[in-house]
Amino acid sequence: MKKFILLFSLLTLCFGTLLIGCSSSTSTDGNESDSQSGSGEFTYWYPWGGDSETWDKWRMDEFTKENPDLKINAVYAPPDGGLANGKLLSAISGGNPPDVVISNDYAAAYALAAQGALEPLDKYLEKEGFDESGVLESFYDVMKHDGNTYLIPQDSNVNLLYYNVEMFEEAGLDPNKPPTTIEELDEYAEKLTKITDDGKIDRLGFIPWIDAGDEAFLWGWVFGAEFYNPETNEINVNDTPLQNAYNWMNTYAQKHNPEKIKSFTSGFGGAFSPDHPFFSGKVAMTVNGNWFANALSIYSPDTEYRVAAIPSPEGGREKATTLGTNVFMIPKGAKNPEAAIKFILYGGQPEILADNINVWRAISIYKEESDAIKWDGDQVYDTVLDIAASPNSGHPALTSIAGLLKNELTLLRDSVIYNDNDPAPLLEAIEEKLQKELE
Amino acid sequence: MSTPLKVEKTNQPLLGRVKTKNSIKRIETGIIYIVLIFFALLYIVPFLWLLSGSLKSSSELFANPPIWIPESLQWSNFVTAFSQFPFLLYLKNTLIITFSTIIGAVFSNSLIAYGFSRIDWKGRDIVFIFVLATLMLPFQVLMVPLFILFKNLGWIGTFLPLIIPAFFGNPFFIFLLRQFFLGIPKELSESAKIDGASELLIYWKIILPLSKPILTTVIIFSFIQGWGDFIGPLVFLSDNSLYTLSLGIQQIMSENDPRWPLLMAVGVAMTLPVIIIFFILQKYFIQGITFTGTKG
Repeated sequence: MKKFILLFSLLTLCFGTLLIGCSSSTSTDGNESDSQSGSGEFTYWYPWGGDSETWDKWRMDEFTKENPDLKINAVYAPPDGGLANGKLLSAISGGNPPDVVISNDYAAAYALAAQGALEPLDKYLEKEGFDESGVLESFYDVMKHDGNTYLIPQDSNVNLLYYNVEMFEEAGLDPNKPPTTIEELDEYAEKLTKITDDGKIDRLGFIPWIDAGDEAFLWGWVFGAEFYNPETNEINVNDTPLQNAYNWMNTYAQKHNPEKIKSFTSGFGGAFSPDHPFFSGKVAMTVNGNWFANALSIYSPDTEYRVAAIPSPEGGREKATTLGTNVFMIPKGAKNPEAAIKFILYGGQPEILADNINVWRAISIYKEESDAIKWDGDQVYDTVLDIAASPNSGHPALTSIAGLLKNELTLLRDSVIYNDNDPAPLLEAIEEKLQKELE
Repeated sequence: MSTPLKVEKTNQPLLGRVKTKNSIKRIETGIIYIVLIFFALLYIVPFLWLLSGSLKSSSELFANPPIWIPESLQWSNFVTAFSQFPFLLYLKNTLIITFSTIIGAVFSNSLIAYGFSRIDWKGRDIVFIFVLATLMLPFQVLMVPLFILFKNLGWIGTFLPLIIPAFFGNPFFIFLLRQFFLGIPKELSESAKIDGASELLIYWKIILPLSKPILTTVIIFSFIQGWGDFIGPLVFLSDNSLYTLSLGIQQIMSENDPRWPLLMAVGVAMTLPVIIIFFILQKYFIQGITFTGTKG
């Protein structure tokens, strides 16, 4: 018994020492910030690792070189700045939020703004002399909620139609005249499709639901859907454009048998593998982000391709894309928002983003072009800029339940293309269900 | 006279029956082995794929048909992967958290389970049901209240929120240990009591030494839990220098490029200790599972 008590006491002592060690090694909780306005320390959460993290660290160094009175406590918060897994929500609820967060999930960030978890930025922006008119109009929707600015985009990605020049020529199509309407897209896809004599698919001209086409809002947006009306706070998915979008996707499924397409696509690799169907010649056209051009240069440098705006139907959105925007935000309760806003405005400048943009062809949010961007005369980048500046490009479904809506629409699409279901009653059911959720 | 003859007559088929029985048994064992080997292969294939993937180039990783043995072994994947984040620092952090939680899990849960199995007290089983009911609460539900609690204690940004809870019991381990303790004959405790032993002494001198297999099971489960925990360190730590390996794996991924071979290299490095610990402790571990299975 004595042995037990001795051992237990020893263990407790060792453990206590260890814990004190752990706790004293980090006397601050990492989110401690200086409350002096625009100086001292601030905490910055970023979601990326690898080369993106290396780049972001370079950006932080550059910022502190220019602002020597500021120190950044940088915290890695995967996968989206701690939004989806509750890290940020816990920190805000616990009164211990970071001063600035950058997220690659603008919809989740917007939901936080709608829920009142973020700090309105207007007064800080005004103090820093920020001129909103210099920002591309396509970003206004995601920046503001109820007339206040909550999110400042860092940069953005657009979706484009990539097409294989050689296959176009082989099929007797002019590579200088990419499809601009859905009818043309269908016609081109038909001509580019190759079926073997025994009925097997050798190549498909186009598959609407792979790559960026898999994103829940993209085709609906191009077809003209609204998804959500912020003025009336109503979910608006049971409308003709969305029904048309799903019925159109279903024509592809039924033409070649959805199961056959499924088995054809099952061997496809991701965008960062040489087995991506566009690299291996299994599809002739695909819709994907601007960054895909870099993947092409790495994994399939010999593929001759061009890009164009996503074709749209009559009554839909011409030259449109859903934007994949990285956004900065300042959580409610942040201790040093003045320093945070300085970093936000510094970090979004095209000159600072140039290294990133020069690899991935992302876009800056500002109208003014920068000499630091090397893509002058690049066919892909010109198209990217053109689409980004289009008034039809935007951020759909900016509502607190965007995530739920996304899941429901993906399930619906699968039910339509794999079970040949009519989308109208399914959309009606989703609208009813999510409206209740919203209220 | 007729008896030996009878014996002879009956002995012959008996030998034959024994032989047939033996060969049937051999066939049965053979079938069992074939089934076991099949399932063992089925389970080891993902790990072998991970191992092979960690030594491949990106193009080989996604080749169709799949390549099992890479043309040239890319050992550089390991070097590059470990240079993407402070591997040794994260390993140290992970080990501190994991071993502290193991100590906590072994001592607290065995003591609590002792109370639920070897001491009779009013309402014991009802309280036990309440303890079990907490298993149904997902971490996501508890996250915010726990964060607020730890924040008020000044523990956010330290290892304490990841270690201290292990010293206050885990319903699954309590259940596991209780079931095992219930199987130990009561007479052992009773005779010790007659000799004047206290409950604490019985727990320490009799129950714990008899419970090595189940304690090993708790150690292994606790190790796996601490070693691979992602959400706990993510939520409660707010300083990169305190992060663990499970967060380090994620840190390899760039915004646009997941870099799978590097992820697989760290995946191998993270899986190996679990396998090694299992092999070292497997004898006890299997015993623990068998005991709780038969006596629970």
